[in-house]
Amino acid sequence: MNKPKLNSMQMMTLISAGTLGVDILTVPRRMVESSGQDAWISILLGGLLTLIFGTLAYILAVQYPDKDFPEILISIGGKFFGRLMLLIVAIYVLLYLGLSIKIFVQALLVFLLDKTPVFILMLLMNLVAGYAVVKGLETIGRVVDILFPLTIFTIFFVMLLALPQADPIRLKPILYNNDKNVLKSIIPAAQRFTGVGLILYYFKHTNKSKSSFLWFLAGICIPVFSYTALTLITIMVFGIKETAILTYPPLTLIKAIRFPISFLERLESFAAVFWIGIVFNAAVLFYYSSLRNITVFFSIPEKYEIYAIWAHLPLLMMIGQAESNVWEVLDGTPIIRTVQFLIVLGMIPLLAGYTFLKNRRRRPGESKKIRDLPFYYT
Amino acid sequence: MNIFKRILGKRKKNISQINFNNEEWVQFKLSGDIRDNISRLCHIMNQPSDLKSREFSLAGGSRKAATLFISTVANEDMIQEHILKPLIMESTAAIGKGRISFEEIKDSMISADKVKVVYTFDEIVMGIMSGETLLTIQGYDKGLLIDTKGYQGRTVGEPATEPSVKGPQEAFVEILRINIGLIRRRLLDPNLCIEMYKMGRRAKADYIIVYIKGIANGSLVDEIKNRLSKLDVDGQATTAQMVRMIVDRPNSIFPLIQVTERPDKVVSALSEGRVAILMNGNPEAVIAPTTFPILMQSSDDYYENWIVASVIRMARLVGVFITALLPALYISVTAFHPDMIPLNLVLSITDSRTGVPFPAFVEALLMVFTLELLQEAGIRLPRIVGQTVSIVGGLVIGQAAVQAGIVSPIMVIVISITAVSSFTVPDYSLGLALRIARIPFIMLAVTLGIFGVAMGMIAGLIYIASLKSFGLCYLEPISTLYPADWKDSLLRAPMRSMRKRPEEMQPEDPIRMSTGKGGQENE
Repeated sequence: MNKPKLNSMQMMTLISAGTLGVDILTVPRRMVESSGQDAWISILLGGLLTLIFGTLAYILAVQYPDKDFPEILISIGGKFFGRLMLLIVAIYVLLYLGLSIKIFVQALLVFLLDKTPVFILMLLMNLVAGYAVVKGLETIGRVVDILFPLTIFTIFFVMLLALPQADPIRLKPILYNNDKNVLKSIIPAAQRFTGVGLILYYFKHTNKSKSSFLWFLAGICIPVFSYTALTLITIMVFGIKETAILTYPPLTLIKAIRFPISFLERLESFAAVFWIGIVFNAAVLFYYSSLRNITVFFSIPEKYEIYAIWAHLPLLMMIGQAESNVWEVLDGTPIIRTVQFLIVLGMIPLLAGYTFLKNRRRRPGESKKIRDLPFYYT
Repeated sequence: MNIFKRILGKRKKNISQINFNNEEWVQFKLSGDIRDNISRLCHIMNQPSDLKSREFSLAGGSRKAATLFISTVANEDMIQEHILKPLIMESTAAIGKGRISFEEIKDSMISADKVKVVYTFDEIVMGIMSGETLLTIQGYDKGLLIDTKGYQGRTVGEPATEPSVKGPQEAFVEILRINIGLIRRRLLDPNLCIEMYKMGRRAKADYIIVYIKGIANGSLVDEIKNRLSKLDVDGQATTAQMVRMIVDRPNSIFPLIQVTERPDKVVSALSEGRVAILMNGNPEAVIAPTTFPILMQSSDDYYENWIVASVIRMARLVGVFITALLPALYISVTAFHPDMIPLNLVLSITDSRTGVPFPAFVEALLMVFTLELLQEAGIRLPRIVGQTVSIVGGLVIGQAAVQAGIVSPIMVIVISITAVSSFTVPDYSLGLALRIARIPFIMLAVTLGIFGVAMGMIAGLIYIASLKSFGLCYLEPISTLYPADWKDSLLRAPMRSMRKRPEEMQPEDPIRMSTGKGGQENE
């Protein structure tokens, strides 16, 4: 096996960065729409569900320490079924990547560059993400390592500044005649954390240690905590009625911040700049995953990977150009969410369970290998 | 098809057929006739005007001998005192004691400290060119090559490009021997390895690889030796030029080696497990590998309290961003996002730009270009004239350009802050790279506003993160790979907490300091 390109601590930054993508702009609105003032509870419970499914994904990754997700699919499903499953995953990842960039670019149009063509913005974003993928996984790991603390700092800084405008009374009544909605919203909330599936792509390249699993869990907890806190603050500042009609509540939240000294006229424009880093992190991680899907699906040799990387560009641009209206894009995403649901909450647990049982049936000598794996087995 | 093949196909390398490795001189051996030896040497070296020979008699005229040396690189007093004088006197005193043997001359009559027996002209030519003296004696087909190197050079002075407020005020000079002494004096470690090699096909230059055995990683040392040994060049003018040919990415504008004129920096690097390369005739040492955080460090950081040093380092980092980004940010804010800044400031900028015929980015490019010209002129011109240029430049940039309405006063302020910030970068080469990086950022700002600048920053970050210096990532330790090394990166922790050497260098002996409580630093 090749030398690991990432360490176990980077698992935390990669998973968090992959999860905290473009969703951060829409999570408060979407969750408030379905569970009102208790949206934050739905997110917390969704986070708990993600921890379970994340652990299943981790178990699957551990069973195949020298394979990534596309290779695992081929290994389990064989050439036909494996490739069929891979095709679904590849299309999903590509669509998710393209639409995420599209949504973000739409936000940029509103808050930063209202006259610049969407095409140009998307092209630049895709080009830079592609450039990072060309430079390799080690470079991606380092870039995410550097950008990730900045993104987390931005999120919490914004929340801190918005606190004076927050009114806790807007969270009340808690769970009053709303428990059904809260429970119904758990799965939609969990769908916001599908970035945890990236573990299946990156585990192969990490330096496996006993702390790997803990770093992975930390990687899930950070976005869960961030989304919960952000939703709480948004509801406390705007209330549920206003939050439900805001396109990008976090950016509007920044707009609501009142500085004692006005050295910046429009803080939300500045925040949008910092948000570029958040979205870029997720985009580059999904871009790499998409590359792996395509190279494994078409059995592209490593030396021709560069062509596969740049072949993404026209595809992503087409996905971005397909729908021009932001609301159409936002409403179109439920299709993606459903596929997401099938993959993360269906395919991965099934594969994990299948592999786990298959390995248990092995001869004693072979199963010993599993006992050396992380603590959740004992 | 043939035409395409001829255009696109790989061309055959035009390998020089001339052998510069002096191999043909090996076949020429010294003869017993000193005249013949002198004329042959003159012929090989193309009769240089500074090649001196002196014939004299040994033992009262019983045997002829001659010395040959190049007067411009050899010390003539030393030749007189340690070769000619003892030879003539001792051999005269030995008259009547029988025939004087070659070994007797070598062991008893020459008082120079380094004497070598030579037979062939390849050794002789190289020795003479580096300042040694050949003693050839009639009747012997071998000679003595005596160390009489003594070329003139300047004395150890203050560092010109890396001044320090509190640190040592000594800098390397052009003489390798003195430079080795400057390192040895600071590093009394028997494990200090100084390995000397020769480089170049035509002009052979001495260079040394310095490292501490037991600290520097063996594979790093081997890698550097291996890369240097593969160099096949005429002979390099400077150490930095030579080492830049063997770095991982020779076309990168960012320096992948650290060039320093400070012996204390070299010693500090050696004790971290890095390797230094020095070349004769160059007042600089090259340290490899190097990283961006290392290039942002100054010697003074370690002579100050850790809090002060950390604050200064952060200020320097801010300086880096200002150097590369301030003009671009100014353009993007004024041209694309004036709503980002307070209304009063917008009005002030608009007011100051009234009457300026150019858009902000032309103004910025004009000023950046003028600043570069002034900086370049300031370096090239003699100091006295340089001051005049500074005054004229200051007036042109500052007052005259504004009064003529070519640039706005606010642009003058932006460019001045940028210029001042660029001087805070401790490494000159890194400063140059950042100055160049300004231009693409300005271009991005003028086309895509702050989004373009942000994407440019991310692309720049990707590029820097992909760079490697002798296998070490250029951004180490600013990542989670080596968290233990964060203590001495963008901030500086107290010295007593830096008990281990940087992990990123993978030193063979990782412990730098005892874990005992005694002898705590006064910080």
